[in-house]
Amino acid sequence: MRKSLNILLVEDDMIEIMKFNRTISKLAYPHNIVEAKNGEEALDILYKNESLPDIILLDLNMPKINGLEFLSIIRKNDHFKYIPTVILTSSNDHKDVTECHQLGIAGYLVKPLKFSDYAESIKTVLDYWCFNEFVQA
Amino acid sequence: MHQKEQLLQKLKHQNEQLNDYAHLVSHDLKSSLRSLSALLTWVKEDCVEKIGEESVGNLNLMEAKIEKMDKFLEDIINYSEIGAKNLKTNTIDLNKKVINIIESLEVPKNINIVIINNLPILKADARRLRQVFENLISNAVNFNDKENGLVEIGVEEKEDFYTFSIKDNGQGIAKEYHEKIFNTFTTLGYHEKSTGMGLSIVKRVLELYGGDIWLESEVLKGTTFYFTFPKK
Repeated sequence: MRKSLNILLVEDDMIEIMKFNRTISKLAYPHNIVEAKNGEEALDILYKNESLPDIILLDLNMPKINGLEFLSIIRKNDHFKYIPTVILTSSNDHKDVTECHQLGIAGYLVKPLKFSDYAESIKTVLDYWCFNEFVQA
Repeated sequence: MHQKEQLLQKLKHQNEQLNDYAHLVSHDLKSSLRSLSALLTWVKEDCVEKIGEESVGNLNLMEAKIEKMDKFLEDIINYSEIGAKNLKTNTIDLNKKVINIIESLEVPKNINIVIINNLPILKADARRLRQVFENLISNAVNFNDKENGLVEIGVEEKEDFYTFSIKDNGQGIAKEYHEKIFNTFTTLGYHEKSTGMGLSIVKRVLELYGGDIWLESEVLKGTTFYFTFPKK
């Protein structure tokens, strides 16, 4: 089992970012977080960096390039297509869920209202991915 | 006639736009609520010892209000999503489905839910049908005031349709409310989880399938909701 993950968090809402960081800071293992405010910024980060993140956590509703657009771009890219991507969103809209699964995702999380529930689900997801082997591109 | 059709088309379009609008606004408000809820939790975590009992109490009340508002928005989203164009056709074994729904509800120990006869297999949109049973059963549970609460789920087969019944031994509903309770945002009693949207959602789903809903009730003794659902 690995002890820390390289995570790309694609999220535009400041408080959502605070929630994520507060959750991570209380976990036993230090994960490495890179933040992007929207799909465009996230693509820039992917193109520029030599090493890819282990996992992407992706919001759907964002300005410029939104989550679904971003997802369909990386799924078509030979270099990025194996990065497991977990959707982190407020919408359990049936259409969104279906479209994301069609494009290929590693999880779809609807952010709970309560922070404690949110923290619990993030912890569960990250713990799970710590047990996984990744394609190293 | 032509004019009438045009008008109908226009109305239909406006209705859809209104639905989309309700959907969008509710989602945005839900995100803001989630932020508020997180900030509130942190203030509580960080300050509980400094601010005194009364303020902690007020923060708890705020938290409860936020939860209620969230539920409310969720119901508006649910309601606005119900439409003929999004309907799926699943084959549903109601015996399994209803047990599954009951297991997902928070049922107090003093309330017993029984399925009194074998339920049929229906072809319908599974999510929508779930909303019908879930709302009716949870109403029967949540508003039950008896020491030994009982909720009975049954069905009667007719030629073209089924008549389902959800019977409770709760507080009952006075005659003058029998129509009114199906309107949006109407609640009769107070319950922390009740938003007044449940029965409107139920009615809207049933209307899509050409089903009907009505109730019989005796105040203080209990209520039976009946609804019909076509076989085809």
